[in-house]
Amino acid sequence: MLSFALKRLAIAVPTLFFVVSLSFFLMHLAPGGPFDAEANLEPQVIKNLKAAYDLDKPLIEQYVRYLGKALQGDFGPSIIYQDRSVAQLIATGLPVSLRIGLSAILMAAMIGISMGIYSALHQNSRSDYVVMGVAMTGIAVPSFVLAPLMTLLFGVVLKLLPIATLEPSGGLARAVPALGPYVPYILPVIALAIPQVAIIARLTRGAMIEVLRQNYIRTARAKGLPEKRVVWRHALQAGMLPVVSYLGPAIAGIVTGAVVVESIFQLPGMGRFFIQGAINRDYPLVLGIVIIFAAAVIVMNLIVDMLYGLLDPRVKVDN
Amino acid sequence: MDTVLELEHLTVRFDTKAGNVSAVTDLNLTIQRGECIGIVGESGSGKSQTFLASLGLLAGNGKTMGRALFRGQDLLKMNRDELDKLRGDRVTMIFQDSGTSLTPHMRIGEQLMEVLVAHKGHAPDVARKRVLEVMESMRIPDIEKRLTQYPHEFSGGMRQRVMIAMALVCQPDLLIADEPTTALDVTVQAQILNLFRALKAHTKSSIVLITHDLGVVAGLCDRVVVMYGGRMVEEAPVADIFASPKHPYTQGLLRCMPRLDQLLDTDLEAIPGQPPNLQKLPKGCAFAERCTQAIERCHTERPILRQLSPTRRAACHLLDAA
Repeated sequence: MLSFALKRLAIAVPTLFFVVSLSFFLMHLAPGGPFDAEANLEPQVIKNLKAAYDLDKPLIEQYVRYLGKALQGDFGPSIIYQDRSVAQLIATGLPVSLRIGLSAILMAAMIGISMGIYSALHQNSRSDYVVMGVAMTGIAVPSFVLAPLMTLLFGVVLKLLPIATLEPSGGLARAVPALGPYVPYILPVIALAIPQVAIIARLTRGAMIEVLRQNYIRTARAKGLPEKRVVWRHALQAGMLPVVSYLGPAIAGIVTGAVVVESIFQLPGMGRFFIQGAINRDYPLVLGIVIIFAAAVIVMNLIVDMLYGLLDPRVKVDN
Repeated sequence: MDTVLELEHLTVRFDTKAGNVSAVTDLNLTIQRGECIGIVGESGSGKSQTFLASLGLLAGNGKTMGRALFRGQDLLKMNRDELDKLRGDRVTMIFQDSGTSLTPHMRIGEQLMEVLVAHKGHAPDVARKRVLEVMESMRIPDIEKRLTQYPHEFSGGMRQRVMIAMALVCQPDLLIADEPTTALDVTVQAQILNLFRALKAHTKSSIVLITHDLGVVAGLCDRVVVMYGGRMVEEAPVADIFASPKHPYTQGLLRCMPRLDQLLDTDLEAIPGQPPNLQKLPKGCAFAERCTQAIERCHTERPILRQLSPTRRAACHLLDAA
């Protein structure tokens, strides 16, 4: 298992290199530059600014310099957030995104998997249709609709939760002061989780229906095992395989920045830095975030593959 | 005599998009204690569905009518809890394809022991002792290590032994074996059949052997039921079936078997035509279309199963004429 993990991490190095190179050139291919929005600058000032960020050098030279520094862990200075390095920005943004992302995915997995199992066990019954209808709604309503509606209801109308701030305010924080620091995260986490709940519920349902049709489930029932044991011990593990392979990349995506939700709730997470960086052609910032995202995807996929080996003994992880 | 299982007017139907499918129609069958009975028929004859239905193991779209009395209690009226008390304990079933019939992510030991835990409430070490005992009687070598392995680490023959062991740990009154040797090669088949023979000699369990292979029946069973198109067409003691088959379908099945006294280059016979379409069974005898001896009446009127002697039944119009 360990040698497998190490081998996979070694293969990750060229993958990361490829991702960085592609992103670097694509970014520079996009029209515009970091200082185009500053309308009234003297040409000389712009020239000096470009020199300060190495942007006056040939692209290839910029690329080699960037790679050299990145290899030493230096992702360079941010262009739009002055006096701050990309590493500093990531260090402030990543914990925020991690916190809401992990909470959301954890919540989504628990609720979604339960809903999926319930639906699979009541396949084609009325309750199945209700649960799956709710799930479909969750997929169909985009978070940029859901998030403002929730803010309107819980923030503006009911005045329970804070609106677009990390300060604990609103009725809930006053009523239960112990919850204070968590209160601002409630709406973003729910807004992030709802579409995930829906996807996970549908995946789980499909997988469990498939597994419950297997011959070994018939054997388990023929053995007179209670339905609880049939479902939880004989079916669930195989039914979780597709869910696990979805969750890996999903976690990677959600913890490295939920663009829409972070923007709506004004959370200083990776998603907002990424959007700002991309709009303003802040090349080092975008590249830094891309590297973090790519690394997260690689690590999560590695974890998924190792989990596969645990969930299904027929999968040999070592080779 | 002591009746273990009594099927009365058992009928199994499936609701499908293409309409109703009658898998089993009006089946009456009694199984006595210690008896080994062979259920013979081709695919789709209803032989497996009869017993899956009795144990409440039908697919979701299946419906069962009639009665299935196990020691006088109707299995079809039982709720899940009542059924679970009998299934795996007093009545057990083993399936054809051992490769897909064992849970792939559970160790063999756990799959065997959970039966005893569920039915006898045994502590793990007690259950383990009993499992080792049964595995040994199944002639599975290196048992201790085998218990910690997963199904895919077993050969087909070994898996089938595990399936049989699983069905025997609670010493059931009735063991239903659905094509237990079909997926195995001939030598392993012979070994598994020997296990059944030993089982028959040493226990008082009744055995139902579902098979399409009359050869398997000959060496093992006391009585044979032949099914066609979801109905019983003939029932007889095993010796009589081979000596004087009454139903043309049974006669056809016997002609299909290779014989030692045949010349090597003679072709094996086959029954012409296809098994009947269970969605629209004919008005008359389901076998009439393929029957070489069919008379006009066979196509218009369904023959009833008649008692030919105290031990024999068959459903064929030709038996009236004779």
